Amino acid sequence: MSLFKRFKITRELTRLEKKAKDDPSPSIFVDLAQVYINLGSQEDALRVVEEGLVLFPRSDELRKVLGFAKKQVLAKTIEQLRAELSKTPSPQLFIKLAQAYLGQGDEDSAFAVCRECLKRYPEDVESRLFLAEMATRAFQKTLNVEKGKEAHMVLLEILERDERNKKAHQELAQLFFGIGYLEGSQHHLSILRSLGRMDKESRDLEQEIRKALDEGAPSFEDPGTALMEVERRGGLIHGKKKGLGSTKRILGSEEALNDVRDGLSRLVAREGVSKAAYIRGSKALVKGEVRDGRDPFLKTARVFAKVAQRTVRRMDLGNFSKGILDGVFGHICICSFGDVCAAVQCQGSADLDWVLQDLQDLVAKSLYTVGKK
Amino acid sequence: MKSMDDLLRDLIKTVGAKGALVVTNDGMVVAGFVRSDTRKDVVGALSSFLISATNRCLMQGNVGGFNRIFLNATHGKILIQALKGYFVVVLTDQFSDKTQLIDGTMRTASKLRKLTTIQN
Repeated sequence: MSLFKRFKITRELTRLEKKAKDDPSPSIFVDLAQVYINLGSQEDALRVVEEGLVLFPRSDELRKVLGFAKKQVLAKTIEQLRAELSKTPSPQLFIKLAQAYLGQGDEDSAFAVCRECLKRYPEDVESRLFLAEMATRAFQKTLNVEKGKEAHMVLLEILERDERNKKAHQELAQLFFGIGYLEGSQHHLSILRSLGRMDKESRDLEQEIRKALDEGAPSFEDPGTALMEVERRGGLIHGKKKGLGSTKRILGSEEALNDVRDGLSRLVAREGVSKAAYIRGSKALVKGEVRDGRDPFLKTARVFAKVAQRTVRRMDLGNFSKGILDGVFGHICICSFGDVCAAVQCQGSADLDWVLQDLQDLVAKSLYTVGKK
Repeated sequence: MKSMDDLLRDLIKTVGAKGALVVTNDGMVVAGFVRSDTRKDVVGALSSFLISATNRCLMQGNVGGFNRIFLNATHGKILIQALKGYFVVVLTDQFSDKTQLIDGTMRTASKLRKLTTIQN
């Protein structure tokens, strides 16, 4: 960077710092953080955004920058850890690197780092335990049976090496309880009891199992069957995560459906809007002039949301959130979050910013209603 | 008359973009600049993927092609403006102003159209 440019940036920084003190507003803090990010000083950007959030805790812009700055800091940490690993590798460094990847939301890389660590240090219990915890969390979040099996296998491997490992027994008891293999869960709790290593969490779990058995809750004979049942149901058998990822149940929720219907009606009532749809997986709720399930608008919205998400992910731009497709057909506006997407087709007279805002509200509200359930 | 490179450079400056490219239907990058942390050929290929998938879908529905695509993502924005047989692709960070981005790109697109038209 040239001296002149640096001078200009420093002057801008001083001006913004002063303005942030004299007349604070979310945009001033965002600008200030952006300048620090451009200067490569992510730590300062993080500090500024955190200061801003103290004053404006509800600012979406500041939250977005906070997430971005955190990711930048983590990226720096990852770079440093990688450099350190190439010089003096150790299981602890591998775990730190995996944690940094997890912080970035990059689970695949975190798994890859842990597996690499176990290849080099097969006897290291800590990293094996970390991998098992990650696999368990991933399974609970996504209900991906393969992750459940991996967690099970890794925990058993730990117990092969150290049969008194408290954490492994606890994790297995929790995992088995979640998938409805209550006998297995009780078995590991009884081992913990015989080892004299029961804590409050384990005692609570023991009580929950007893309660579930008294109420005649389902219990499966082996973990394999239990995992298959979880996949079939689309939800955990016991525990807080029950129902997560279950599309059928979510769409079946009357409250969520009514909110979505209202939102779609409001959208269609807007000037210039002719078609509106709320899409989740293969199901869709529609309002307006949509002919049937094969309406080109529905297909375009589905394909466009998917392709846009892939494109921005591969360009390292994070997640696709909103998009506008303009053509002779008018405008197709889309708002997407995970596997949920809402879209409208409108003509030139429609105010696209408002339409996008409404779409965002619709998606956010539908997810919130589901989250409450 | 300014060259294609000059027009794209001006566009980057005006809208504070991270990059601007002219891409053909099949993903070939004709001209353009992107920041050092981004690869031109990757942007070209991904834009082509997005363009062809969207166009295919619109053609199957008999609703005509698209003129413009605007994408908003967590860490940036992408604008694709269709011209005859090629596209202008502009990448910006997440803080850029949408209206300014569209206006700036439209102006550049019309200049590019003039530049690429053979006049008698």
